[in-house]
Amino acid sequence: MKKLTRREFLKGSAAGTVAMALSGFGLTAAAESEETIKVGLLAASSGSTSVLDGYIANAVMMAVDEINEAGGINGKEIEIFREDYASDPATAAEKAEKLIVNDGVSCIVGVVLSSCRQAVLPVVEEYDNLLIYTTDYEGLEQSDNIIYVGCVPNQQIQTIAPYLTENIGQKVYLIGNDYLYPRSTLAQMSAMLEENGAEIVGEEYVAMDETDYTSSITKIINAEPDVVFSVLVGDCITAFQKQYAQYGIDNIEMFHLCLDESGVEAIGVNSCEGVYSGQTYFATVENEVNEVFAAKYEELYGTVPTVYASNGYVAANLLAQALEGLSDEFTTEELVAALQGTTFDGPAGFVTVEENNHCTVTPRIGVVNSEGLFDVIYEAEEPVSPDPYAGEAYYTESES
Amino acid sequence: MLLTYLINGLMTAASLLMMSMGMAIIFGIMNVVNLAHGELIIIGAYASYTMIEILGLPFGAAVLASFATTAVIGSLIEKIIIKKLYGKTAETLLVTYALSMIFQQLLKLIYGSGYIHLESPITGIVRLGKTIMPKYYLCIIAVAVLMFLVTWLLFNKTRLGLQIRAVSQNRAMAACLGVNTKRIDTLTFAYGAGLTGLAGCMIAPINSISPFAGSNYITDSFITVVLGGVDTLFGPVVGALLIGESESVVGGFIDSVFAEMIVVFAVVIIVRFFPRGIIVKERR
Repeated sequence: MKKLTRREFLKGSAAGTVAMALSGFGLTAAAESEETIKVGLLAASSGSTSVLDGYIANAVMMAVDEINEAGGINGKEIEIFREDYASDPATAAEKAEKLIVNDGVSCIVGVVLSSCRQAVLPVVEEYDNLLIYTTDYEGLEQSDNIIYVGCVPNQQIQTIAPYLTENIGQKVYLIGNDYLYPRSTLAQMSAMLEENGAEIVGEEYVAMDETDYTSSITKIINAEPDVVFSVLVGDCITAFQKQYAQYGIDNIEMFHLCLDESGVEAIGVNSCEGVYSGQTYFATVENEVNEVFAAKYEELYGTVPTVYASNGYVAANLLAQALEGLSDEFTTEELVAALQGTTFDGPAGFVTVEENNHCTVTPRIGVVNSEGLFDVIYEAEEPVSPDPYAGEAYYTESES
Repeated sequence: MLLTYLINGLMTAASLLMMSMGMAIIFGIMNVVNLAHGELIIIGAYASYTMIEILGLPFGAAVLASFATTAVIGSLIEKIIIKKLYGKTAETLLVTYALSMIFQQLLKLIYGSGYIHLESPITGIVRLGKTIMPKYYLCIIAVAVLMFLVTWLLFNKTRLGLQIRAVSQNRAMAACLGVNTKRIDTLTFAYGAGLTGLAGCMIAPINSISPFAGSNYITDSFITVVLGGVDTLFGPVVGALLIGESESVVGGFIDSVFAEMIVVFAVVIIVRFFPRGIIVKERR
């Protein structure tokens, strides 16, 4: 008999270990895929958008728990794999790849900033996976591997512009942050306002890291508008509105398109009572679904839901409905096809995924009341269709 | 119109001066590039929030608490870490960057990741012709001037100030003459950190404050300090006035993004020809 040398022994045992590991891996992967449907959740717990990501993640978890408690999807539970991308595009792309390759998720919900979505886009396209993006954004994009649950500017603007000129004021001052979303939105808004007979008395863009708005506010005072229409976002709304309130101006109305309940809390109700907002959802929207949703969300997480929460909840439910019509094994193409045409009657009313992968939603206008919530003063009668490329013409026009 | 923008510029300059004074001391006198500067501002804001919103104390208590909290944190940082790293720029950068992230996460653990809200202690406006000046901004200008005066007196008219200047100019000689240089280092760093925290307390009512907001403030402070120069305390004053006024006037007449571009461009040119900043003190 040949004597086993040390080297051969090592080689053999190494091969055995690898084989065992591989078979073990294969077995567990197969076993798990039969038990659950894996869904990735990309939500930042640190960085600039972590508060917004928190709303999305909370609502997705809440929806998934409800779906699982009700028996799951065709007997299978949804299993969430959550990753923190620290509000950073490069990390978002990395974590998306990890979710797809290591965890084997069939789709990913999340990310807030457009820069993060654009970083995840090539990853989901490369692996032919799906991103369900839940934030309102500027449009000008359409991918077979992304479903856009948030609204695009045309949906808000075509309803808000006529309301604003008719009920709030004719002389409008436009202000926004200096990047694609506010510029695209304000270009469309300005055209739509002028169509409705409004006069634009000023337009300004400020940098994202601006912390001092005194000269912008002075310019607004000097332009003497009836109303300021702002597409400032995030921290900038807070800093701007706090400083604006210091000036004690009471003859100019303020409309922040992107102000939500968390923003009101950060600004303080004393500094923003009476300010208008144009979100598609407010915690105070009156319908049966929202009554249950808003109460449950507040009970679970100790704060009222915002449009981010509503969109996250809608996204998870649209996904669940689409999955119900699919067999055990499905491709991304089949999932997208199943999502298209799916309608969910959610906290913000009916939301339907259109063929351009964007959703019809109901635009609304709210005014901050003394409790720091929004009184909904306008609600479109019908959900409005998304036109992601509506801004393109305006945008290139205004650039040239 | 120009007058309005000039007055606005004064308000901007006052916040800039407040935020950069601590950096002028830590960077100028101690030669430490502190990347956790923005977080010290935010810690000051949170200290003030704790006093007012959680403990229900008046604004005066918040001012003292924000100075004291960051001063204590500053002295601890100096004693435990920075003291071993004087003269090692790369290591200091790394350590203070790490500290900035640790502070962010600690604030998040204690207060949650959301924004905090602070009411301003003074509201109302003062009208000067067509110019509107919120009273709180006048208050900020007053505090900035006061901070500057106290610091100037401390450095130039007290025994401690003399020792601080002696250590910064010639450490070995100061030590030979019996100055406890280590104690002076800790005190100087703590004072710089304290001023930074105080700035945080003052800007909290008019800015967005969350654990991660510090990065918004560090660049402005650096530009102010580098432009003005750190040889004397007048450097940051000149830096703040130049930046505040030009941002306000250019921003007012043209566009605020353009104003920022012009200011940064001007800083590059000025630093090219005055590498030590605008206010330079002759040295041996």
